[in-house]
Amino acid sequence: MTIEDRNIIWLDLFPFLTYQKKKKILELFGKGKDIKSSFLSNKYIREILADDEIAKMSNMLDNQILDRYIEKFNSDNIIIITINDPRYPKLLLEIASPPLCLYCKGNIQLLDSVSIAVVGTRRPTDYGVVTTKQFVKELVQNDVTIVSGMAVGIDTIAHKTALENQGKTIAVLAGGLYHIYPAVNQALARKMIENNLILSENSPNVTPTTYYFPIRNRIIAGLSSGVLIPEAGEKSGSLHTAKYADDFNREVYAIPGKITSEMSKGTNSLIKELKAHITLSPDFILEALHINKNKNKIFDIQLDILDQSILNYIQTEKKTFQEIADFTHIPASELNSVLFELEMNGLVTKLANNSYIKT
Amino acid sequence: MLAKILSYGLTGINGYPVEIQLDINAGLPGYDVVGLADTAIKESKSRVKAAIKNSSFNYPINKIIINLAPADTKKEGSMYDLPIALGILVAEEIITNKSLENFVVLGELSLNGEIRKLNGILPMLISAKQMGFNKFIIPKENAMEASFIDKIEVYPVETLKQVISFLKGEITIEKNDCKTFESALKEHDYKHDFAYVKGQASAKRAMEIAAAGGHNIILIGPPGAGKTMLAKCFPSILPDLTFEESLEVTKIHSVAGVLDPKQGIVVERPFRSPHHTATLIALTGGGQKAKPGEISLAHNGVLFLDEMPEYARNTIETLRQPMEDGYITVARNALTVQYPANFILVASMNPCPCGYYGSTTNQCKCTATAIHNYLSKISGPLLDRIDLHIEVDSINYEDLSHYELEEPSCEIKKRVNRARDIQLQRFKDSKIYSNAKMNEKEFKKYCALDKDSTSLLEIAFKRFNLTARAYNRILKVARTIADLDGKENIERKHLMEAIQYRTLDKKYTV
Repeated sequence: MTIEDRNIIWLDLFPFLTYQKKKKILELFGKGKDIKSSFLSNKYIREILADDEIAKMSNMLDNQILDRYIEKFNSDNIIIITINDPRYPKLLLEIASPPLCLYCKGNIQLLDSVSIAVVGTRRPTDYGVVTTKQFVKELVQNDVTIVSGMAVGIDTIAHKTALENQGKTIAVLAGGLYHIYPAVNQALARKMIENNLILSENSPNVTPTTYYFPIRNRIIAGLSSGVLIPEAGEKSGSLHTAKYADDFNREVYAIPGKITSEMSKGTNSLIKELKAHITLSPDFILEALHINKNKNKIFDIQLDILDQSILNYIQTEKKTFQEIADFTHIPASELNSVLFELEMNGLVTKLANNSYIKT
Repeated sequence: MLAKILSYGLTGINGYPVEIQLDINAGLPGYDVVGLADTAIKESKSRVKAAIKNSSFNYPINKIIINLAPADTKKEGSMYDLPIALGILVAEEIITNKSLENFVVLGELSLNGEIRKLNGILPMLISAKQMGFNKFIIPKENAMEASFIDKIEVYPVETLKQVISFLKGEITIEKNDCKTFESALKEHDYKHDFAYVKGQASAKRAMEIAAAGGHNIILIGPPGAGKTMLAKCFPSILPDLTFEESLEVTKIHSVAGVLDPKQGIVVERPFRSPHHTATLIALTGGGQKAKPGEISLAHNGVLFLDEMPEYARNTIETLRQPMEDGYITVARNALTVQYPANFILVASMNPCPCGYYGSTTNQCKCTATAIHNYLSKISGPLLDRIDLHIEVDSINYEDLSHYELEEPSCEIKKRVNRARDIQLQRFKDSKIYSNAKMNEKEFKKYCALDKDSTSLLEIAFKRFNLTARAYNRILKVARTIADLDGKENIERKHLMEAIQYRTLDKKYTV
């Protein structure tokens, strides 16, 4: 670990230092010098930092303190990749303010893979759930990594669908790795570090505050070749991500929705303002990424007439169990096992309220 | 002069004999009760005195000492009024002690000498019969309840005067008729019938399975979907009570004082629906006298918890142990009582705080955290003990407006009874009646899967992220579905249907 790396990790320990301040300090002390050793003797430091900030930082000047932190991070399997590290993702370097350091847990090889960010509302409608699942499934089957923010709603569905289809996925957290947010997703995070990746630009001990979330979105956009937004409300945070993607010259894909739907207002207006591609199928994204569709992974399932007629019936709109029962005229006991088999084969998705839709 | 009269007492639903010893001495007039008597017994003084006077007998102006033996057991209730009054009259030599030999006497007196009804007659008589007593004097209002016990002589009485004349041999009292259980069974006329529930095919099917196998069930759906209606129809498809089951239920209802005196015995499976403000004690039983709670009153029947997340968390969590064991132990200061509590839990809840999550008609306004918090009001371990989760969708107008009747409850009940018969046959050597109560050993024996089904289950577990604890539940339900189908072994389709009923496991765990 070089002296620059240690400088960055040390500065990251102080949550009150903004990105700009950290950069200024690093510039001030120059390359190849340990900030800690000459921290107090540098007279220009007071131009950047307030007195109480300096006081707090001077308590931590001991090299051993930093060593203990790094040791702890290492023992928790946290991989620290600074901006000087060759493992640092190339795409992320292109953005205006690349994070100085990434604290990663999991498979860091995913960092340079072809990836698409999938973000959206925290309160998706059935339409959002189904389209997210459908797009993510198709993308991961063609070896595209899914990047998202692990928020509830679209983000969580994107991660979970990727996992279910043995795909690759990266979660970018707002707070440090010791503070998985939201807490509901702790189990998901545990699962993701097995073969996939979670990361944050903040030191693991930093607790997430509202301020970090919009800043975090730049990493989501920066890591990916494009951003897909299945559903977003008028003031959704995913619109920030779209804005960043636009700034970084990445593609923005929005799935159009009904004009009456609250949760499609954001995506529809992106399309209207020509800030996003109107995206009707995953193939469109795959083409833009120059990926030839992987034909091998589509497998054939023998369907009988009953299965086929149910699939046709629920093709475009979700139907409740009762509606399907009335349509097919078969008893509930049998219909249950028929629908189960279809769900097992991934042909239908079961939604809340005992209703089904074609996947 | 000394008198000895036999009577009976109750702890929980088990009786024990009480001997009332009474002595009248010269001295200042007084009335002393010893032998850990409660206030009701001590107050018997006034009732006994007035009743004796108003039946035109003399009340002694002497010192009366009454001992309730065994002296170290707490006694409570008003059933000792009549034996005490008889004891005084024996001591006064109006009747002989010999005439009362072998009689167990129970009854509360009113001031004019009439004999009033008591709670807990049936359990007292049953345990007295087991102890070898066979002649009883009891209040006439309790006669119906006593008539279902055979091989005992029961003399129902109405007034103190009548008892005295009977003991003197001046009149005869007709012995209580013994009735059979079958004669008490009447044509059931249920208020709620599945014939009037439109649509809801999947929920009805799930309830049929629950009734057949004795499985606990939770109904999840938006307001107005018909969850409560479905639950109320549930008793109409439950299998008939057997006589043994009926006696167990009647004992508890008799002790709690909720037994219908005209009916005398419980012939329908009880359906209890405590309100969500019910306290822990109201549910489990307890209080000063360690009375049975709602879960015991629901023994061999249904406990319906409407809007389950609205109940206080600690209240519903206490259900966990009785749901597993089939009984509850109520420990009070003076006594520890065990009540049976073997019920089918039927619960209902909304999918989210506003109730419209996933609804087609209304937009849900809850945040994901709010939904998560709402659902987590019901803990995992409790949810674990509920075998069937079923989502109830709201009914559309076309379904509501056609007048065709659906399949009536009695048809469903026939299938349920058939499946229950198979189970009774299967478990005839063990103490259980239904698939839901299988223990590990029986589970291994009767829920074996073939190779095809095992691999199906394995894939389903991976695909839907099912927990290990769901495993047993799924197989038990599959066993019941196979029984309904009349099949010896669990087949692939049975298993597939059973997995469909673990909605909450599938959806809300990673």
